[in-house]
Amino acid sequence: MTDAMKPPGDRLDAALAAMREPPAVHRDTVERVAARAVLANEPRVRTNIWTLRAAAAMAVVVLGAAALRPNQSSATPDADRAVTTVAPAAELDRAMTITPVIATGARPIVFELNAPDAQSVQVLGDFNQWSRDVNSMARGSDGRWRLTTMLPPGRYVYAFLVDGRRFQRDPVRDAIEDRDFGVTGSELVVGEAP
Amino acid sequence: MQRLSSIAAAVLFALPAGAQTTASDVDRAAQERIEIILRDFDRRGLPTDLLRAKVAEGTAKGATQTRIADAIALLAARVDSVARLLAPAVSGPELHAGAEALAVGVSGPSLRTLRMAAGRRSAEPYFLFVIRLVRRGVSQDQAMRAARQLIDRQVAGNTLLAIADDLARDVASGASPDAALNDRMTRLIGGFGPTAGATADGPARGPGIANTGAKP
Repeated sequence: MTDAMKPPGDRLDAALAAMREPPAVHRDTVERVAARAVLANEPRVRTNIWTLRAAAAMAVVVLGAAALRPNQSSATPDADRAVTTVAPAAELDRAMTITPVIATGARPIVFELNAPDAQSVQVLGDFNQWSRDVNSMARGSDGRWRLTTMLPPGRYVYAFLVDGRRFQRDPVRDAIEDRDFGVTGSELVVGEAP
Repeated sequence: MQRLSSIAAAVLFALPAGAQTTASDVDRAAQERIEIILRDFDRRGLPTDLLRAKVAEGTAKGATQTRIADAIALLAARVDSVARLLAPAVSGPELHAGAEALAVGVSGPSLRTLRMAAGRRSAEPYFLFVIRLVRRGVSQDQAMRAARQLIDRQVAGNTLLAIADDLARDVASGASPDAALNDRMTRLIGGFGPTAGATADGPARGPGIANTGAKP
């Protein structure tokens, strides 16, 4: 039975159920917020979270409104993944609809590198757009460089940049051959929060 | 003689300038190629974050614009293939993982099979599972069969990660990849069960053992 054929009461229940789901947030947004949360001071973090919640609340209203319209296919109850609605192959040249996503469960991830002679070490990867300015590591008295950052579930490729000029893979994680640029990195797969 | 010296000097100065202009032209053409690809993805509603991350990666690693453009073109082709394979609905993470799966040699039909088997769940964890197994030397057929079994049992994503990690350790300690996978599957769900021998794209209905959700 399609949504349009269901009694109005059922459609309303379905719409209400959809609106009770946690707000939809794109993975990129979560990554940016997580990165800022690590770097920014506490008040700033709170501001970002409330801004995010406000935006999420608006998204819930939009999704809820869409769910109440029986002919709209974008209001899917499958809220645990970002859905890009892809047109059939013959219609791929036309624009596609990207439905907002729920991406939750960012987890603290520890990066560590033993480089006692290094003057600086940064972590560059998919999660920070390979920026040298986002994830600088701190040197411990034992000569090991460490950084803890929040990452949502997913697969990431990254490498350490030592002294601003030499890339080095993480020796404790899987090596990933760089087929494009010839600099071997490491792979990190972040699972769901328990 | 003085005129000859002047010409020689002019040639010496002109050569680097000419070479620089050519390199600049090449860079500009490469940047235009990148922009065209990004605009095309935007126009079609495909996410560009993966492509932009690749541009940033190439820039950070000091790659030439031409090399970056080549990498973007290759990646865009893979993402485009995954979008077509998994149409009409695919998530951004599925696109990303699917593109990586194609890069390590997983076939398009296999990706489609996993996507369909995953149903309303995200297929990304299963793509990542197969990628990691194949990268460790497990045959694609074996990896697909394992993934199908685990999908049918609704095994949690973290359990998939644990299996892949365990298998990596097994292989590192000298075990045969396929044998190690079989051993891990046996411990988790009693082996490949009645679906053993099924092809990657064939039916794979197991005995319906409940999700253990636990690392063996």
